[in-house]
Amino acid sequence: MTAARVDGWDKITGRARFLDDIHVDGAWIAGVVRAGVPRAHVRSVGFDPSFDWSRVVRITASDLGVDNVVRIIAEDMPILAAAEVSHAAEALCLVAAPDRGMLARAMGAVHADLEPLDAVADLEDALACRTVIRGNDNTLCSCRVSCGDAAGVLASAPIVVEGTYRTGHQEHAYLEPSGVVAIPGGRSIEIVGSLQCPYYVQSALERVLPGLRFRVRQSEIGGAFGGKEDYPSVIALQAALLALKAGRPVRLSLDRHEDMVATTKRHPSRIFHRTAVDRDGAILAMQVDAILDGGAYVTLSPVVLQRAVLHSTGAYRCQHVDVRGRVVATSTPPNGAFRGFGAPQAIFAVERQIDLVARTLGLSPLEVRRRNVLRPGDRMPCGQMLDAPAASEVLERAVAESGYEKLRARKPSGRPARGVGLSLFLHGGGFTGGGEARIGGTAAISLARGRAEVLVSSTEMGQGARTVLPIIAARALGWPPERVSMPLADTSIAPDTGPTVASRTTMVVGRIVEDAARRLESRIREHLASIHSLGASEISIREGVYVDSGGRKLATIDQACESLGPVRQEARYSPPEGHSFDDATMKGDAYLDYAWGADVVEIEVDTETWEVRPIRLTLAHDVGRAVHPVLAAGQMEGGSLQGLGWACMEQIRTARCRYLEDRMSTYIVPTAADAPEFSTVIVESPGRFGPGGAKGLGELPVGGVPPAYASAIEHATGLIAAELPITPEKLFHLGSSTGRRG
Amino acid sequence: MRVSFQLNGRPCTLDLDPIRRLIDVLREDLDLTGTKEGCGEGECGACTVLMDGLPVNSCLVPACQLEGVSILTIEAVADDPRRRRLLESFVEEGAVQCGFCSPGMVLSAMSLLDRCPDPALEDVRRALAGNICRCTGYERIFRAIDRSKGRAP
Amino acid sequence: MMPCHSPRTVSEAAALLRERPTVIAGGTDLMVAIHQKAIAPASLLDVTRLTEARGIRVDTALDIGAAETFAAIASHPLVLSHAPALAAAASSVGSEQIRSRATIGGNLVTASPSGDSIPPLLALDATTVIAGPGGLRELPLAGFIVGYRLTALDPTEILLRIRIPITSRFQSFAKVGPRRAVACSKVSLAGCAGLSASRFSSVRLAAGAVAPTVILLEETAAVLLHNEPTPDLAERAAAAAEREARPIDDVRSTAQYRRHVLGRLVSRFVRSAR
Repeated sequence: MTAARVDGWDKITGRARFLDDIHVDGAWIAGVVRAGVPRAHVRSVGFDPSFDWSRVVRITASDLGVDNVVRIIAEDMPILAAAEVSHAAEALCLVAAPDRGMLARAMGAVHADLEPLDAVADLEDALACRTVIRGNDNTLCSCRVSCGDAAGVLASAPIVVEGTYRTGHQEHAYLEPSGVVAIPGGRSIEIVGSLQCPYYVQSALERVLPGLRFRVRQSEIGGAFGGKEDYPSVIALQAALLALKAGRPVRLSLDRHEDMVATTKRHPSRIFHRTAVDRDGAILAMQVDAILDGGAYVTLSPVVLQRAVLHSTGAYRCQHVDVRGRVVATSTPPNGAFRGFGAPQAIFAVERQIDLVARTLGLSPLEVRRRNVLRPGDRMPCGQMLDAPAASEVLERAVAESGYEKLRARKPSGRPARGVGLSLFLHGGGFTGGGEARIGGTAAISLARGRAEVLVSSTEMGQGARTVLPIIAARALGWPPERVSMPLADTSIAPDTGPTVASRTTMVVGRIVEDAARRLESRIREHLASIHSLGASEISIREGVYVDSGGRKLATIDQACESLGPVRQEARYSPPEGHSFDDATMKGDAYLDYAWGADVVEIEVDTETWEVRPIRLTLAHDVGRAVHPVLAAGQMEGGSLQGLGWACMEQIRTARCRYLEDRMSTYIVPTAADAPEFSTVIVESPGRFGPGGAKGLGELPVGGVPPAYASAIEHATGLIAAELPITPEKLFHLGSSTGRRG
Repeated sequence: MRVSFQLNGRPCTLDLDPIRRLIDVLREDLDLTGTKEGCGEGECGACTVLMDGLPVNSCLVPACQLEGVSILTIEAVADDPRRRRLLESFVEEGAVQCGFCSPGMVLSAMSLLDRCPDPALEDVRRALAGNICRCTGYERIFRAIDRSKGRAP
Repeated sequence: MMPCHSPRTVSEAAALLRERPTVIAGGTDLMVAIHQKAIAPASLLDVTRLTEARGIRVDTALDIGAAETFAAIASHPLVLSHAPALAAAASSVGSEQIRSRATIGGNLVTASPSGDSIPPLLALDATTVIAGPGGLRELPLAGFIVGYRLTALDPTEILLRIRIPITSRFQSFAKVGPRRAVACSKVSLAGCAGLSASRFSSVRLAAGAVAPTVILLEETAAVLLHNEPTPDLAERAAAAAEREARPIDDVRSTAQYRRHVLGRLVSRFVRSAR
């Protein structure tokens, strides 16, 4: 049994230091005066002269003194709104003050003169182009994946099934709100924060303040889920500029309400499917039109879109595919990364579409999936060949484990109505296409006094990176895991291994760490070989002792390290042989590997109040190889519950481009009373790339639950939901419009 | 105003603004940062402490109502050998991921187990409903509590 | 630093109330309002130490101190035996953490239409006991809540106790919210009904979150009175309730859904009445 996570004791005793637990001497508190209006021309930002402005520090776009840009992918997003406001949470003025009371008074003394302009409310509004805020038609980015002749096959197909599927915003609701502290030095700045990607923040700072040196490090992170991938660059820049101006540390922490109002959310989607099938349920062609709402700026939308498009045909084989994707701009805060990153939206749509196909043909949802599931030797629409997809395996495991067929055969009757639903899905691990090669992640292992430190830019945010990566290194070294540790991510001690996103930490970073550890292991053996006049291959390690081929003891780990002296070994990502992807044509090997999952969701529906109670979730997820089974199961269950919340209760509606749900009393997430029972099956179908065959697993779970939940509701009630969240109000509406009562 | 109360088994007397929140007294005045603030509105439970044995949201307790009460925070639990099994169960069963909800979750669990040593799962769900966890899905938190119940804590 | 007092007796409190302090009970509403900058009190009056506002006892009625918490009320043997609908409502409020602090008095004075203690108290025909400069007065709950978040309480008065007639009538409470716990009611219903020779001899139905205040469904009660609780009667009562309610669309739910669910809860009440 693998040992407990290394940071568990500090966290459970409250000793782990999150950002606001860290005292910074002399730090001032910062606040952001936000526009409050979704789109406007900024006439002026004025300051009440009766406030003593010498007691605080303030910055507007006009006195920035540096390029007003937050570098993410594009450079269209400013640090502060200058001439125009593009969303209601946009910063107009930054203020830092010695204490909260003075900060509040200073912020209250800032008066913006804004001339409201027409705004674009949502995805539909963007498509209608009554108001155009980006390009000619509100497009932020677009992409297309196709193979074969989908149009041709559809034109002559006997049966064509169409469906449109919609999903809304999702808020991460990490328990610890966002925050950073900026600490200025001589010609340097240190940023400490609740942030997933220290080098992203460093890059954004370098872009704007090229003359300075930076150190960016994480504090203990209280959850992130993608919500702390790009937004920290915004607040780090804001805090850094204030810190430079004030000549002292500045802390910018958002409270929950501000965090919900201002930070990124999951992209809402509208995905249209048109599928040609034959009478036996075989899929002949798939045409997909996917639209995502990106909010006011580009940020990560091009990559979210790519992933959505590349996952839009799900776990099914089809030789004639045409997927078009587009992200539209709206006058709302930019949407960003959220666990799954476009795939959950795509999976919801394709799974519901498969259910529609089944219903149309009078076949069972399971039958249609079995008929079309990807098999070894099949290709994805981008052309990537799958030599061993575990899609069938997870499907059959979930079905067997849950007793799905028997449950589905039961006619729903009585009160409450019971139902069961199934889903099959996938997640490509690592960056899309050439992304990993472009990052060229580097890991280092530092050896000193019989202990090894894994130095990577991957952040621990609860998923267990600080436990799993040392285990990988320890195995490659042949050392007991207690001798290997990993500090909290810090750009002053760790090289850039890439961001902590895209389910890449175990599979990609783990592989680089493993390579570094293997090289280190070789170096140790070579060193001992030279001392003892042996060949390096004659030396191995057994129970913490280096021995020769006869079993004679050569050195303990401590002795070997002492004679070797402190050593640092690096390794860099190198793509697998022949692995390539063309971003322009979206053809080639889209991902290093795919993880596969199947979920079965059992529910009860009160058909009078339309309250749905999830009873049991059966998860059969292929993780390649579970480095730490307890942590792996934690990712599966935690991600699945986030998917469930998105499916049934997490809702953000907007009115005049402002979120209606912007507090934890109105944006509700599942409590312990809402969680179903879990039946968690870790499937191991080893991949070719990750350590021991490990694949990415952090994001896979989120997309599985929502369509299975919808299918279960359909089974229990006959009501067909094509939009998330599926609230009791929507079910009531569906029920009454079909003439069905209680 | 002068307020005297018991904090982690020891008497504590402070001069406090009547409306100052208990969470701020703990975190800022007493440097007890184990109690976390997740929402400031009594919705997430990260700030849970025990007041006279019952779980409360410390972000909603004003200093003026501390007189004569007994407050227990995670710092006392961490050092209490009687609680070791509960804490170990949490860590070993995977009930801790990011750790931000953990102190509050442990205190709610502890309060339940002290009053009801062998709770049914439904009772556990109810008792913990005010402690949001976004990471674990709750499953392993239930297992941890199950593992630690009914024995010498 | 703001003045703050925690009087032990009503007469102490009465004197302090003349200064119009902000009254604080459990603080679970007030502290949120302060956090959201909706109010900024200049002085506080803590009513939780008033001995006359504490305690749960039975004399000629079930008598509950306004400062009693929902945790205490939900598990108190006297409440469980004499007002199980109130016990059920109390145990459905918020979370354990909220129930440990929130008081029944605070819930009544906040007077939100989704305040969960209000429907059972109204259905049980509770009376409020108010302390003011002139002494004590009693006011039926229906007269205590006068509008959306408005009570008949004068700023110099405090709610001291709630008295509930002892009854052996059938009573129940139901609540529908957006999740299974820690949920603000979308619709709630409490009912108290006497049956004689298998017919309703008395009916009080109180519905929450379907109007600006919790309301007594009088027309619905009239449909039920003197009739046998059959499935057919249940549906007629449901229809009457749907007509009688005045719900709105808001961030939590829709008027149509609330109306429908209220009908269902009324129907369930009728079908389960013994």
